[in-house]
Amino acid sequence: MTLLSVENLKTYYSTSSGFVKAVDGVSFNLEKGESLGLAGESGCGKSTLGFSLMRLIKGGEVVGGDIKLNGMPLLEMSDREFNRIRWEKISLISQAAMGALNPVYRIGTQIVEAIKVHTKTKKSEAWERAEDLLRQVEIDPSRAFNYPHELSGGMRQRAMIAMALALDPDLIIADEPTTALDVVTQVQVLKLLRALQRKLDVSIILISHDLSILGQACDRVIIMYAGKIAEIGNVEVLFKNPLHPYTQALLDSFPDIKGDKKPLTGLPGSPPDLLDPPSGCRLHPRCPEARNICQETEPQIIDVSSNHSVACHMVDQGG
Amino acid sequence: MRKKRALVALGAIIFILTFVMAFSPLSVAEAKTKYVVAWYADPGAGMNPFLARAHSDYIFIPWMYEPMNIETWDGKLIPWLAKSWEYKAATMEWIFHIDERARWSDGKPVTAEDVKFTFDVAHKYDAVVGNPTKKYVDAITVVDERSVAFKLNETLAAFPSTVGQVLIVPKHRWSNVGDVTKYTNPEPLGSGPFKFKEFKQRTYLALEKNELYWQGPSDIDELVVRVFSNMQAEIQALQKGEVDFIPDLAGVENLLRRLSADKNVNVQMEMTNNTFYVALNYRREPLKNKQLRQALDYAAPKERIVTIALAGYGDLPLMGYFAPVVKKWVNPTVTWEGRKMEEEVRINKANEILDNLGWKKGSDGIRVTSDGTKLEYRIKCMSDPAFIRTAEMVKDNWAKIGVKLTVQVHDRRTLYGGIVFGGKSTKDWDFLLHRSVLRPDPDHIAREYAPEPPQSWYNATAFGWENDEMQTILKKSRREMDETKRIMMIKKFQEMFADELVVIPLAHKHMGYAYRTDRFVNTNEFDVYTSLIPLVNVVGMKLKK
Amino acid sequence: MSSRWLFRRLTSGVMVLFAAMIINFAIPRAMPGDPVDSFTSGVKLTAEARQAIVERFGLDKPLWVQFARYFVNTLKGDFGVSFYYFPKPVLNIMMQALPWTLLIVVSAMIFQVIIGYFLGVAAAWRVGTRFDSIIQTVSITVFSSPIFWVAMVFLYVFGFQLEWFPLGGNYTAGESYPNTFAFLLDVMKHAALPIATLAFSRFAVYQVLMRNTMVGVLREQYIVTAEAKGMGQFRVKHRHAARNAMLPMITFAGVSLTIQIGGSVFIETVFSYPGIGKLIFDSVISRDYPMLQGCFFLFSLLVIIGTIVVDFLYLFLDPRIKY
Repeated sequence: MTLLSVENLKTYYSTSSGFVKAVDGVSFNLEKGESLGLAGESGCGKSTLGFSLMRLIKGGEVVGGDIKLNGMPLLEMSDREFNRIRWEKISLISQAAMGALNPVYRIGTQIVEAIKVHTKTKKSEAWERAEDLLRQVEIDPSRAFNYPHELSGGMRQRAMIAMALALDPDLIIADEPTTALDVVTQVQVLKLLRALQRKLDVSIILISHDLSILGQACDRVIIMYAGKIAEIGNVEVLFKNPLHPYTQALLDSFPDIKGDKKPLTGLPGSPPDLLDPPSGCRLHPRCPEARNICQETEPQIIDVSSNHSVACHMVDQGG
Repeated sequence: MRKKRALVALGAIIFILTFVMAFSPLSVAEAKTKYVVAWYADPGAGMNPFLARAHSDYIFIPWMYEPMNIETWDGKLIPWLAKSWEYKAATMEWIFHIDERARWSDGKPVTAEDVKFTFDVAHKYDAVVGNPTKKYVDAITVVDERSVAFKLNETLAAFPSTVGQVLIVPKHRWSNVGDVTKYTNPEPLGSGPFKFKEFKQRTYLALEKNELYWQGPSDIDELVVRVFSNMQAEIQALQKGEVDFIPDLAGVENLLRRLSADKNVNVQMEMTNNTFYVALNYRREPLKNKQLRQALDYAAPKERIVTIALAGYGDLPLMGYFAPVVKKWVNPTVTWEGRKMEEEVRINKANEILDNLGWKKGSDGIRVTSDGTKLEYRIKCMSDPAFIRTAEMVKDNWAKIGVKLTVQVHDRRTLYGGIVFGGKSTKDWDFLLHRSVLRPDPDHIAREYAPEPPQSWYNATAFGWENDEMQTILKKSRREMDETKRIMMIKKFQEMFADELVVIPLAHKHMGYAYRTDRFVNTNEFDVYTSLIPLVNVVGMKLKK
Repeated sequence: MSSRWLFRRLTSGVMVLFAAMIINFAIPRAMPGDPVDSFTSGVKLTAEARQAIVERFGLDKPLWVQFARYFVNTLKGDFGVSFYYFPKPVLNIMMQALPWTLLIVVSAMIFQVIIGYFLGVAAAWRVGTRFDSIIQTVSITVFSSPIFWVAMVFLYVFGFQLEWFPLGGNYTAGESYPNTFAFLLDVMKHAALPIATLAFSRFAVYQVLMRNTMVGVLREQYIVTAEAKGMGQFRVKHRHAARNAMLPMITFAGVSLTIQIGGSVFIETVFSYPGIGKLIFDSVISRDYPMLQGCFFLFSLLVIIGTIVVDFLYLFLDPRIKY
């Protein structure tokens, strides 16, 4: 069952020198209970895409497209209506280790606040619920009375997860949830997140620049480049058989601990200026396999198989 | 959460309500007539008449405590607690007869004992108010219940007016006080038209009508003296009706034109014995030269000082130090010679005088005396706009006759206490722009210019001035009991003062008061010596029928 | 809060106070000439009065004896006898004046903080817009207009022209009030203009401080979290952002107490308000040294109390701070 469908979404930031096309015509679907990864270099628009879903874009706006959650058109709602969607339907896990929790309020207070804003729960019940949530993320409930700075980074991140689960949302957007943590903690947090997601049958959009994390925690992965989707596919398929040169380059830039030793390769150059993106395929200036057509025509996404699509002229032409 | 919100809302409502109500007038019944007097400083003396030393003290206290007599600007003495007085030359005794009607606000009569007590303790404890009488009085004796005799150690013609500076207190309230200069007098009781009600230091004094007042109770039920530190606000308060009477308008002359236009306000600005002059330091050799002083006098821009620095509230001066208002003592013939000349003519004349002296102008335009002294001086004044403006005008004019001035402005205390007057003063000055308010009785000027013994606080010593002939006249006048002869002496002195140009008089400054006329009529017939204006004026304020 | 912190905080307070006392003690004695003269400065004194001053301050004794005496007297709250209000003690006059100044200054500070807070938050929320720059311009303009002049204008417009408020004083002189409430109303009516002037002239510091901190806070991750939680704008602004952004403002409020009292010198003079500010003004004019010494000591005390209060406030406002 499709939970979320995004159709030709465009999010632009306006600057004095023009529009930065951070997300430029992105479409995808998300099934209920599915875990979807969003990957790409910094500035590729993956976070913008995530925040667009929550209408949290600062300094820019969604200029086109359509977002439907359970068939409800999110972009057509008034602010007041949308405030009810937030956290009740879609919640957010961001980098708690780096200040996503308000430093002057207790952990419990912040969870209770989320509950109280949306429901008519009694204060005492809300606190019980908060303690219960903390228990679920393996934090001692007495920690509800602690302030964020009194917890370790991993604990803070788990508290953030607890808060995100407070209202049983349908969708959680996790924006780089493990980035600032050490590797061991990263693994713990990811495992917990994955376990909870499966247990509660909630959908997740996991945004990360780290493909190995997405490999561990996601069912499906979207690779974005310069505001556009380069490739979508099931984790196994995508990782084993990447078709887009960009995906290949990304995968090559990660050392495979178990695999053969081979030199790390990456793409030359840096991501394009989204104020004035290159014509045709946006990757062509950096693409090792670029041809004339890449400069002229923009490649369309085509389904390679039922669970794998890609936007590349090489694939298009069967090359 | 709910509770907190409710509390905040409640707080906000109370806050708004109080502010709204603060705008609505107080609903206190205005049955009593209230009269509000504005004054610019509070009495340092508090309610103790023995500590009265400043002008302010004489504004607050005399509604409760009264003097023996009150001196008017024209030189008359108005009998007050004392209905009459006489001098017995044989015994050198002044005998004062107290008005039979005079009584304290508790009903007890004002007696000779009270007067004797007041002067005795003032002298004994060295109270400032007793200073002028102390050195002349040998003994005070009670003649009868209402008569008191002051036996002097020398003849003193002005003694009755000197006595008037002391406010009389009831012996039955003060006899156990001890050192009267260390007493705060928490519950004043006096003979005046008002009784003490409440005194808030630095804020106000509230008085109520003395029903037993011996000159008949006032039409005013409640009298309040409010301390204003902002004189513009004081004027506005008078126009608005928050204040009924301002006893002193000095310093707000520029606002008076508009105030006079207010139909509910009467502004009374009159000439007083208040003289604006340039004093000279006679320790400087060239300044002893009378011809130089004449030149400086010619070149002084007196008309412009009157119109600009004094905002028109002043007159060209008489040259004898007395203003025309002091009718009894003034010599009206000593007018300023320059009054009919154009300023340019006067400056030419001044230049001529100095040229004739042979004091040539140097290349810088400054004259040099025959013994080589450059006429380059400082003129000092206190930091008051009228003074500074005047000093600048004098400087500009004197530059035209080759006398260069630098204007130096000082804090009043520093200037007078540290530089000009006083034992430890440096005497480091050349010209001083000065204003003095002389009491009408010439005893005051006698003490200023012929102090016995010489004291640093008096003009003659401070200016380094000496003149045997003139000083002898002054000294003799103090002891001359024949009033006609005394007047002759003083008029003669004024001639000599003008002829010698002891100082360079610039103007007589007007002083005055303002009061509202919508509720009260002023029935006073005389102008009194400044300090006691409030007392007399308020006694004379009658409710409009 | 550890008792060690409390001890340290209090001792440092005492040290500052002690330093202030030394300065207070030294100034009249450091002036050239006879110390009695610098104490009395040209006031005509009788021999007895002069002797009384010499004895009171022990001016004929060695310096350390003088200091010991001064120290003990100050601790006892005995600042000596005022020259101008002789023979009234300085403490007496000061204590009559202090409540009035505190009324004005504290109320004005509350208004300054409130105005500064709301304008600061509003400007920061719309940072970079025309609204923001208008608020900044207004704040700076108001702040740079002389407080004395603002007071005169307020007095003229609201006191004289509109007749909303009285032209001076702390309450209607010599009035008898039917009840305490009527008295309080009258006091408020008299205090309204001085408070308004002080609040109006000095809110800008708070506004600018609030805005600038708030602009930084609004970029923090937890603001995004707060918005994602679906709270209304008001809650995000005030409960989450402003709560963090107001800390510098509170610090400033604590130390600005004396600046405010400094401003009250002008305000109290214009509004004929019998507080400490006007007392200082009058004492400077009349060279009332004991009174000035007393007032300066009081100031040092107020600053120290102000900073300690701010330190305590921080404990409640910022949980990250532990003493």
